[in-house]
Amino acid sequence: MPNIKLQSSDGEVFEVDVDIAKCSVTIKTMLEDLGMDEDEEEVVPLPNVNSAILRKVIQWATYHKDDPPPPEDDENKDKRTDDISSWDADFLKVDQGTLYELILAANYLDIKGLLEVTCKTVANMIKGKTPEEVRKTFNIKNDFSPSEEEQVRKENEWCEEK
Amino acid sequence: MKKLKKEKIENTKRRIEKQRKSARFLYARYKREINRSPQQQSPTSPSSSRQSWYDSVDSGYVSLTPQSGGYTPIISGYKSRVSCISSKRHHRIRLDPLQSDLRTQRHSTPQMITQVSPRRKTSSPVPPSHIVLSPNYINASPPISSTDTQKPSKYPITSLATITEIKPKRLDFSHCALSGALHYTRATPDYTGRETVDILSLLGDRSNHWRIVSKILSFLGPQDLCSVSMVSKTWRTICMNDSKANTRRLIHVILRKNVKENLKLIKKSKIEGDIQSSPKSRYARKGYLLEVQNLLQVPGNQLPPGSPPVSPSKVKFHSFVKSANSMRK
Repeated sequence: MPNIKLQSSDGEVFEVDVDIAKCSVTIKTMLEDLGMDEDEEEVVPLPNVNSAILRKVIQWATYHKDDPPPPEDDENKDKRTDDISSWDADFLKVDQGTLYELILAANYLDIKGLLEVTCKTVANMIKGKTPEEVRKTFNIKNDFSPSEEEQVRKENEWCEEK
Repeated sequence: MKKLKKEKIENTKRRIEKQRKSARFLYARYKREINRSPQQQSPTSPSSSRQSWYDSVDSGYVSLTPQSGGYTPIISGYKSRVSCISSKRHHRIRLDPLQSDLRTQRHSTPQMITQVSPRRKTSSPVPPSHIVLSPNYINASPPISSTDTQKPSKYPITSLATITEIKPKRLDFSHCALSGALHYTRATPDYTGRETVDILSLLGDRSNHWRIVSKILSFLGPQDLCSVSMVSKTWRTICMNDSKANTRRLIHVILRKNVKENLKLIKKSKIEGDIQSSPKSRYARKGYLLEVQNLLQVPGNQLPPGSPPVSPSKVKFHSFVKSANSMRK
């Protein structure tokens, strides 16, 4: 099985099976467009991904390498967020900074499955929470002025669960 | 520069090669060349006429002009040029200032060659002589304009020749990787390891990943969207900017509003329904069928059946009629 070398932003080089690397559409397209020689010594730099995140991404891709390609986005389909596999849930038990970086990496490398599952995780962090709870979760300062707050509250007063 | 020009002249008029070496002695050489030139000239023009023309050239400026005058209709401004050239030719040593005048016109000489040459066959051999002359001037003082007009054909060739090889379509990562390792190329700071980050603001406002923001919002229910829009100014803007999410949220708000208002009505009637046991009593509460109920509830009715009961809805009307009657009195 041929390997490909991926270099993170901080210079660490990861040697990955090409099939696993092809989870990333970005890398897959690159290899298809440019061709791939045997015993390739070329290192592919990924300047947007640091080593910690790249390690996680490779870990995810290795686990999911036999997954069928994710279904196309259906706008009308009801979006579920409770269908995260237990492995993914464990995998994504990380701090929010890492989660954010994982989303960016999944977006940059174009790994649909990973992007989907990370976005779902973020959505689950927001779901069913009051604004105050959301603020607490993400450590956000309420920067509405009292008058703005009143306006916003009025606009959404019908949504308040009672 | 000079070399290029030399090549050009060699290619176009080989006959001038001799003259090129020294323009200063052109006049002296001219006589020699007259003897030689007939062999090098194009075979179409009769050597005898050429000979006569060279003689006329030698004789001076005045003798030349009448012949060149024949070309004025073909090439505008040619006559003056010819006169310039000829005067130049014959008085060069004496009238050096004229050279500056020629320099300005020299760039047009290549066109003259092409335009005049067809004529060469039919008419007098004067034009060839001009063709012969003009390169001499190019030689005498290195021009800029003439090279500019002729260069374009030459430049692409030379520049192409300098390109030794075209690299195959392969990315050379060796340099990229090095620079990537040396410089941290990320535009946004690294948040790895932070316990809490304002994830939506970072994705939307800071890094323009609106696609991801939309994705996250699409996983949220309308109720959650309402909460999101109440978290902070940034979150509110993000929620508003995502048209799909905002539409869903607004529809939800309107639906909720209606539902809640209806809920109030439903609840009210429900309570009423609970209190009142039968539809009959509900009517009774509003005043309908009171009499009937009374009749039913009080079997031993003491009251005489007087005037027919007034419809409750007409009570007001009757009171108005009454007061109207009293006013009339």
